[in-house]
Amino acid sequence: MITLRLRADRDFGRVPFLLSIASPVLVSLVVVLAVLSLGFMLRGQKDEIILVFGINALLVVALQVFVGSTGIVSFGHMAFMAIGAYAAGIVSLPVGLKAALLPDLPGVLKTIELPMFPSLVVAMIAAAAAAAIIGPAIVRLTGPAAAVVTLGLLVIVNQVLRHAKELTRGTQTFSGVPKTTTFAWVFSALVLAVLVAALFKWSSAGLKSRMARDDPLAAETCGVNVTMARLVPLVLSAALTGLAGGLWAHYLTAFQANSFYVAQAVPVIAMLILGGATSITGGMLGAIIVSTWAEITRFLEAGFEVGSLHLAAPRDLGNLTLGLALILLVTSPASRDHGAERGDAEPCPACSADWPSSGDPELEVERIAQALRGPVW
Amino acid sequence: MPEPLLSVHGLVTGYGPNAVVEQVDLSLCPGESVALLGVNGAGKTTLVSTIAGLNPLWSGSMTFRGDTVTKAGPEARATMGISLCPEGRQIFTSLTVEENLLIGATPSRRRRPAATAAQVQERLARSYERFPILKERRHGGGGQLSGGEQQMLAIARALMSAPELLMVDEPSMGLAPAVASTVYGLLRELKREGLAMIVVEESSNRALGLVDQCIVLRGGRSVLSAPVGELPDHATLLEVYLGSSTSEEVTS
Amino acid sequence: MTGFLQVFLDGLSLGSSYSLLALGLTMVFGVLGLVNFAFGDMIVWTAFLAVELTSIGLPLPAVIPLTLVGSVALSMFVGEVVFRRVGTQNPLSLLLVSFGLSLVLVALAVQVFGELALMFPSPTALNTVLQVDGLQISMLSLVNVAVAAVILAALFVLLNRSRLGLALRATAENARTARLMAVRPKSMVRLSFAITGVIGGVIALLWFMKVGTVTPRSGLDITLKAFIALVIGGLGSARGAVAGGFALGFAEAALASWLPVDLRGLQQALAFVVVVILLVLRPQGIGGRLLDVSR
Repeated sequence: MITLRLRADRDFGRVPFLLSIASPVLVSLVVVLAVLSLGFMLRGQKDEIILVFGINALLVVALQVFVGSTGIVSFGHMAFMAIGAYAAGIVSLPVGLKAALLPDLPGVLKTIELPMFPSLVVAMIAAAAAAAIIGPAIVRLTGPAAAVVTLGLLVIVNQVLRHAKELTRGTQTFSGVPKTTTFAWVFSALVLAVLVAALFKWSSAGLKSRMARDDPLAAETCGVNVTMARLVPLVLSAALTGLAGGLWAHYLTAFQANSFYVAQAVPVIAMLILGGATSITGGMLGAIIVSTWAEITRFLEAGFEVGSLHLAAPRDLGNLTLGLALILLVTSPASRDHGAERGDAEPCPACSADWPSSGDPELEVERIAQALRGPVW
Repeated sequence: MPEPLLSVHGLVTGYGPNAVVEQVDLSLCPGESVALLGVNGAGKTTLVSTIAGLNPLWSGSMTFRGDTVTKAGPEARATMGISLCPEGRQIFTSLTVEENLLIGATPSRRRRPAATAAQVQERLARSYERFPILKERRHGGGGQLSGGEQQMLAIARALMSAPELLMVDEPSMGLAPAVASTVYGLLRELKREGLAMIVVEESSNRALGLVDQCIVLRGGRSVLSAPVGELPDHATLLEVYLGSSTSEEVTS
Repeated sequence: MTGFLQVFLDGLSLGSSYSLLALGLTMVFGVLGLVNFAFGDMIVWTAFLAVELTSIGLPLPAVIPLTLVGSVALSMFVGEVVFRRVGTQNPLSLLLVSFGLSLVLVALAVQVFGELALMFPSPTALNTVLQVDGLQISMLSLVNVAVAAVILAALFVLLNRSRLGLALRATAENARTARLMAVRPKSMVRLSFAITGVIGGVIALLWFMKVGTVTPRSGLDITLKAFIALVIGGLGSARGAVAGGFALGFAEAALASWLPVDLRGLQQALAFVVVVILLVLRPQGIGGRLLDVSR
């Protein structure tokens, strides 16, 4: 947080700016290379793992664009991923399959069969449009109320998807999406997302968003439209999440509405918390740690042979450890004590109305990041 | 000399890494009153909050009626008879006026029997006698009172625990002069009744007219401590108050 | 007219459950700032306790008080060990912790009780359906409404007529000043978790008697209902929580009976749509205080 402010305050010229853009791109390169070698060590099917890592990293960067610049923790971004996945799936499904699987598709959708790139664009536009529609309701709130409403968004989208049989086959599996997600696509998307995130962060719109996040009232008196300052990052973030959804659809080829629900939202949030809400590099680090751990626990849950013994970890070990990690991360002394370090000589009445050592609750997430020494680029 | 009611010795406290109050001594006999003066940021509010137990002492010690209370929390100190009427009044706006008063009546007392329901009612009646306006508004929300009424409610609430030491943080802040005079009239009455008081003010002749002693804080340190009768003249007081760097401007 | 009355009765029954749920959440939110995502999962664990107690042969009159005690114990334990460690009014940290807790509780429940649904003890007397003038109402619904009414009344008295209740409300508004009145925030947090525990225990019994079975993953649905009711009512307001609960209950009953059959699956989504619209019009909810000063 503190580092962030210093960075934001600095009036950098063209070269430092390019450098600050270049560093996350470099980092994402390093991340992908690291993941590449890691995947190589883990198993033979390295491609699969790398793709999953890459998409996870993309998801967390997309989520950061919103959380980092609004201070609202979204539990509902899986909704945008679902919208992206279904949108990409619908427009790219081979026409022959459409007749069999989705005979009731309306109008032009029935006859089109888009290649990879346009289908990803459609995914982004669909998710962004959804965000623009639902956004005004979310951004009017802050703190826990906003989080609850993002969860509501997820429930709404999930039920609508399960209900819109003509478009999604309802509760049945949506299948037959061409398997075109490759290393190059995922990596390009990740670099694009990081670039967009960085550009937005240092743009005047991004600055306004962070002003509105830190102090809505003060921002408003400076002429910032708080609603827009939150809506813009939401739409941007939804577009990137939709992109991840499209890639995911072209990777999985078959999925259901419940492939994008509360359970799937948890790991992404864990990545975010682990890496720090404002640090893109940290977010990707979080993505690596959580994805790797997910692979390890899946391996353990499946069980393995030691000599003649078959050992298997308890079911749900992944979620159990993820949950414990979340609890421990947030309740750790490092993240708790940080708030006490701030403070003015004579606290204002509004501040002293809080509990003894509390600061601004909305900044708590960043404070966690800071306390964890999450790298800030 | 009688045994002091409150005795603070070498008090140091602050927030985070920054010390805000350093090496302050303060002694108060029963029925005596002190004015804590100083510019904004001098550490006055921090000092009284610390005496009330809201901030921990970094070093130094504090006794109340002969008991060491250096490590006691605000709840314990409240039950012992220390009452703080906090800065900005801090009325519970979601409670009614009467509920605000009732919450002030702490149920248990160390070394004294717990306040009985009858005693609480008696104190409530006494408050309404003192502040008729509160009786009128007793079922209204605490947030619907005017600034002066809120200040009276805050003082009445602090009195509900029948304290032996009342600390009032900036009683005249944000009040019209006439209303502030009413509040000070009330404080004088309380003093006549024998209540020991610490009154925090940024600067006020009113406060000096009320108290026996005066302590001036600057940058967290006590720069002047004297009985009111022995205070230096106005110019010197101003110099002490603002620091030596401005003394030339004052004298020239 | 009968149709309307039926909807009213159904809504009353649903609304009582939802009001209790929202009240349970709002008690802790007021004092600690926690919106507990694990609330439903704690209720599921309580329900499993009732199942286990029944399976060792205890009669219902013994199971009920033991379940309530267990629920209070779980709630206070979780409050003490998990949430109070976060320590301050940091709603987001607390929400995230409760998210983690939810994962842990579900995973442990899967370990201990398995994924399969377990039968919940439900006396047959409660399952009888009364028929009056074409209106249908189950005994369980009546019990539901009666129990909710008793708890609401008891809470009202506690909050408005006792020093403890005043202290709780004062702490919820301004803990620091409440300490000056000798109110210990720690005790108030414990008290709020105890109250939530009682409410959670009651809900565990009523809810699963109606549903009939428990699974480790039943908690999400309960949490979502509680969240909707809470947000409709406005965070931190007891009155709002009750209003929000009944609003949700009546809305669901109306949707269930008047919605075209092929749209029934969208019930919950529509409930959330209502919430979203309401929040755009009135961000602080029906009875809540405004959280966001800027709007």
